Amino acid sequence: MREADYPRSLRRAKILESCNGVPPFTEQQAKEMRLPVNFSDLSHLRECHNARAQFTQTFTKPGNFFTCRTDAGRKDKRDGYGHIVTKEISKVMKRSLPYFETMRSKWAMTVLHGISPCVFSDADRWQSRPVAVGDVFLPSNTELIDIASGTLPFFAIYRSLKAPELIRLAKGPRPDPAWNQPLVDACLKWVDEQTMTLAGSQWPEFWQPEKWQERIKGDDQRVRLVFLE
Amino acid sequence: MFDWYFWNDEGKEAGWNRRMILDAWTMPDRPAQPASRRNDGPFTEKDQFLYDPGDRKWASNLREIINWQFSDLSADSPFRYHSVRSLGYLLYSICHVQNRLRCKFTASMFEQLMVLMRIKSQDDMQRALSVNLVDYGFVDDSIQFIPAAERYQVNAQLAKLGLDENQNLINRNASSYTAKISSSQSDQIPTATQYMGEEAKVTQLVGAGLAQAYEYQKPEYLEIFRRFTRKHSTDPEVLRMQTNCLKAGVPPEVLYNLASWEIEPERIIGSGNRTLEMMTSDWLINHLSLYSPDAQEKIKRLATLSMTDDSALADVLVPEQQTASNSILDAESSAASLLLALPTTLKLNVNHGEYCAVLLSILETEIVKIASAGGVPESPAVLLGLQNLSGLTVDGKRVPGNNVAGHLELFEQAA
Repeated sequence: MREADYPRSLRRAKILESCNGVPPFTEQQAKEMRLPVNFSDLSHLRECHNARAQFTQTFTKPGNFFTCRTDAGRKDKRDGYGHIVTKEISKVMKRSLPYFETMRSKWAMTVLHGISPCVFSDADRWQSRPVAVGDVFLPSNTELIDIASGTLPFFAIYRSLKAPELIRLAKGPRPDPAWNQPLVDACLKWVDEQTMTLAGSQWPEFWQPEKWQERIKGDDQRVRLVFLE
Repeated sequence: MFDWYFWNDEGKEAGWNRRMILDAWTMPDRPAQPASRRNDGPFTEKDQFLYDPGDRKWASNLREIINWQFSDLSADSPFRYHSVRSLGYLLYSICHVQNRLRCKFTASMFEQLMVLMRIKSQDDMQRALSVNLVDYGFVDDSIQFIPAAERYQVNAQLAKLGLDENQNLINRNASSYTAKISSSQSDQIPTATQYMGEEAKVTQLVGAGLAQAYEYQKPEYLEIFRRFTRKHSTDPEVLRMQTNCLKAGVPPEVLYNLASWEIEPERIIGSGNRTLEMMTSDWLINHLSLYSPDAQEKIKRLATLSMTDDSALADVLVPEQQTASNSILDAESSAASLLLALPTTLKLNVNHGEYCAVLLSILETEIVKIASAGGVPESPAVLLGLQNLSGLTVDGKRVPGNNVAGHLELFEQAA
């Protein structure tokens, strides 16, 4: 699945490149064509921004994200119950900055790549977290109707756990016995070694060129990774 | 690492199982070699899961783990996950071409702005370089400026046409998902109705795109709601919300009864198109008097929200009013017939407690009026009316009808 997704990942990287304002000609092309100007007019970025603004406006502007109605309890009180529950849930959701970020990421990804997955981290917490499209692996030829009906046979989410997260999950109070403790220890040791050498690992990005784009953007396009040379 | 989820219907309970496995390629031995992987224990041992809960089910439904939002502009079906074509994808090529054309266009502009000189030898070039072109410069005879007529002319109209055409294509491709300020074909300023029509034309497409987004948003909202109404949740925000609801009078058997709830995403007018939203609000406010008082309140709220973009402020400026229930309104209207001693039919499917309370309150008001007038009713018909309202005669016999005694009986049965 990782290999199958690689060409798609390259395609997504191209879209990100364009939306990050990278000039249309490579440095070499510009040199060969003796072009004195090589710039992006940001039309792609602008259109994607407009679309994202409209989606965000539509979903976050109403007073509540959704309305709840019940058909249980006393008939004359049902409207009131619905009103109370709607308001109380909305109060929590509207005040949540992480959820605001989830919505922002969701609509940005929807506009850029057409797909935006959000994952719940455990069985209780109400907030979902956006995951990059390239971090969710589904079998090729999966139809959208299989996702809608929940009849997907399997899928995988590629994720990284930071050392404190792993410690909290696997070593915290009442840890889940499903954790493979010797392997967890080995992982923590490896993380410790990496930190000691101060050599930040970029290996996970090798198969996801869109992440190179994000890194290049973050580094102000001055730092070129070895992969791109 | 890879967090695997797979559907498993073996055993007593069907559901989603989970495993976590390390991605050994991301943990190389030597950072300098991308093709390397960890080859020392325990990372390379077989069946080495980082997390393995065995047959324990992680979730019973896919939406409890992950939810997707799609905006698929692909035209062919069956629609596939990896064939989803986004707005970003569809705009990429044309924006890339537009950028290249614009670079060449700008390069040509720079070229046209250059002062070109004709020379015959390297000496001429040296001479040309030494020419001082400020007001009092001297020009050597051997230097000839190339006049405009002899220079290569770019077909500016064609280049401009190309840029405009590309922009049109971008606009047309983007119109499904973005709000555009539509321009009138003529130079005349459009009327408000014309303008609204043009906006609505664009918004039809936008609305179709948003309808897809609303549908895919529903499962996530439903899952969020399920988590908010989950008994014994460990999320402090959920617990606080549940406590507030219970304190406000929502019974536990209603709050925790997930099957009894329906969730509907809230929508805004204008499908996210702010111009159309404000114009619609403006129209509604201008025609406020045509609507019923209840609708007027809703319109005021909508318009305030549209103009201020602040739902909290809209709540403060136009607070939602609590309205009397249907039972109360019905009891109040039927009391008049009862006091006139007219026969009535017992109304079912109402809140009998509320109904009784209203009728008793009216009965009490009538008795106080009679007592203050000396304790004697004006006519025997008044006494008959009071008996009809209470449902009992002076000698304790039951009077049939839509009265206190009838509703009290039903209330007791329900309790």
